[in-house]
Amino acid sequence: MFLKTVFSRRFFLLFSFGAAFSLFSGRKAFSGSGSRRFLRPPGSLPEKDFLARCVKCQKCVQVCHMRVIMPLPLSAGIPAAGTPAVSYKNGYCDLCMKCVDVCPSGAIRPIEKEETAIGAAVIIKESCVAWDWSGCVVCVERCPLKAVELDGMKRPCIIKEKCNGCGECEAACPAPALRSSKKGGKGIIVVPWGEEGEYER
Amino acid sequence: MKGKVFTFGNLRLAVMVMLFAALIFGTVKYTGTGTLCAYCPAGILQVASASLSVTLFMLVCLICAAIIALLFGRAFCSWGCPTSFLRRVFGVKHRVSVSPGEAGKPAGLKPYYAYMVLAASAAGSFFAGFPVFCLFCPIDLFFGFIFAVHRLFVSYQPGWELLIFPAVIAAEIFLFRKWCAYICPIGAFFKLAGKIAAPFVRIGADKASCAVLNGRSCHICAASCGEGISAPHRPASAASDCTLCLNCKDKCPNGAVRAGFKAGKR
Repeated sequence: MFLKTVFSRRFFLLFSFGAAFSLFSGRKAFSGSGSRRFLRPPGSLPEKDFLARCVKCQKCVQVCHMRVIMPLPLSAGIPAAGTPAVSYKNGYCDLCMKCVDVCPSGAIRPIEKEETAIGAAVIIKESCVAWDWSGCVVCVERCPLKAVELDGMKRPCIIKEKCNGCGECEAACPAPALRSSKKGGKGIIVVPWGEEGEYER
Repeated sequence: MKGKVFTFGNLRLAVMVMLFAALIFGTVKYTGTGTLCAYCPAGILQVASASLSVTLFMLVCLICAAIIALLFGRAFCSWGCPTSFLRRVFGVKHRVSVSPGEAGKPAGLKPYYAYMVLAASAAGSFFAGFPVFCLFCPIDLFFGFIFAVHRLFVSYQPGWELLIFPAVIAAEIFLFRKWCAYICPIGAFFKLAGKIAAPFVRIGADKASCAVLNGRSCHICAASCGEGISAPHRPASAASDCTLCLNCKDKCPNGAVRAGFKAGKR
């Protein structure tokens, strides 16, 4: 009886399906899914603890009135898919901290606005208009923390210590509209902490 | 019964549509009420074992779920679960097993599969470091799909889950027809209470009007029941298997099925 159910077609399917799935996701987890970083909502725990607690209930996605918190797509990896991440494509974080209030499992914990560190802004020198011709100061003017300053040649530079990654500069950056090339992206983007070094050349 | 508008079947459909509308309303109006996953007892157990911590909200939800389980048993499965809604929409038969006569037969380990899945997903979450079962839970995939659509329209970011999640849900619904009874750990959580003490709200048959109790053959209730439970002769497993869908009450030609506190106490 027991053997018959174990070797039935559906249970074989279930087991192979489950085994493949858990091997796949498990291997990713053990080989350090914490090493892949995402822009998490303000107050999020470190990546590993965040994944342990997030139930993908989408409360923070629902409550975000700037619509910058969105679930990660499947391409972000199996355990991370569906967990919330911040993207400044068409908005920025105004630190209303509602996502902190609604999180049911403590993946996003309450913090002071001053402690916020979503990520760090970096200048993409190939895309930034001011690094080619100077004149554009949109990010300098928009930054609420005065973390973007002009250097001697009127090119914007980030003061990392002041930046909290709110993304107001990225949302406002006009570079894609000012350049004729379709490839050009934003001239200033927010990246997860620890990855900003890759953009400083 | 044909042409009757107020049936429990339609009421269940209305409840599902209202839950769905609440989700859409909550997203449009920024209420942050979230999906069912925020209140899921299996999810809470997995998060607790993956992170070795609980929040007050999780604890309250778990206690509420336990109270619901004690009062109504598996009622969530037919009244709130989007998977049973999808099954109904796509006309997938819900029949589990037993004809009335078979009920007493021992079924081996089968009745315990769902509890094993619940225990295994909690243990697996501890080792993997994140809630494991949520990855293939059809409820999670259902809401994942809805919010992938949300992301597509709000920030124009399509994703593979728009294709993959419906495919996995379809595979789970069509290939594993006994998913709800033998795999689902959420159902197992609600069933567990029924194993310990029979839920307070249950079905039974009226002695005066039930055909079977008056010596005639009928069993329309058992034939209409997804779990094969006969209202007059509930098997011992009925306490934990009944989802209170009340199909039997809809179908009974004599109106003999009673549902309520300690109905049909034997």
